[in-house]
Amino acid sequence: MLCETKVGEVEVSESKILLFEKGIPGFEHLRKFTIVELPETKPFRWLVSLEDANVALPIVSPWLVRVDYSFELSEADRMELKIEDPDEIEVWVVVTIPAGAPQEATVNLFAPIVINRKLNLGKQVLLEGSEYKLKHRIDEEISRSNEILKRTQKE
Amino acid sequence: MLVFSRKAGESFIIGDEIEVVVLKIEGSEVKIGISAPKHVKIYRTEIYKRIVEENLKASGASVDSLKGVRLIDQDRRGSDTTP
Repeated sequence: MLCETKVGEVEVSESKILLFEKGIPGFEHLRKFTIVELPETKPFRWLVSLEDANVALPIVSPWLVRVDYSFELSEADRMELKIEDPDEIEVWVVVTIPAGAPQEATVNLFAPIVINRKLNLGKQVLLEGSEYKLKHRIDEEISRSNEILKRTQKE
Repeated sequence: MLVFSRKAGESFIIGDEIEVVVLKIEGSEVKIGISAPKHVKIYRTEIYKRIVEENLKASGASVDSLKGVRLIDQDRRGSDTTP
């Protein structure tokens, strides 16, 4: 079906519709989302509401920002997302860009968007007790990651 | 809202499975221990509110605003294509 979204009209097949049973914080009333890839913003993607054409959040793979990103999914979240096999999991993080200052963009590594690809269930998970914060400057994370990559390539 | 007083070391139970213990009281701060089954999610209210703010801010982005945001050079990651 053709859907009107914030990032334009997109073709969404039934199998691409993600159900966020509790919405996401700030948009608790919205349940149906999909992930849109636009050539002009690749490799960023958009978590797009199929119920409100004003809502779309830029997301990115956390491993393109922090090479060593890792966390353990709590049992509560695993149960909610009905995850049986870790291979079913897809992970994204939300990008925030201050107006007119793309170099100050941050990612929310504390609250990743976790998706069960098999059942198309999604949730923004909170990593209480982890080292991650709601705002990680992308430029700082990239420098850090490049250092790690340099070190591991030497070995 | 149910309101009652507890001393340090005292506790109360919610339902059959959740126990909340007041561990320590120090000035204006209270240390609380919670025993709950693993399927019960516990997080601080203000953290949830901050994530709401962050998501609302993020949703203000336009396609153009992403221009100029740089990521790790994917070539350097070699054959690793996680996730």
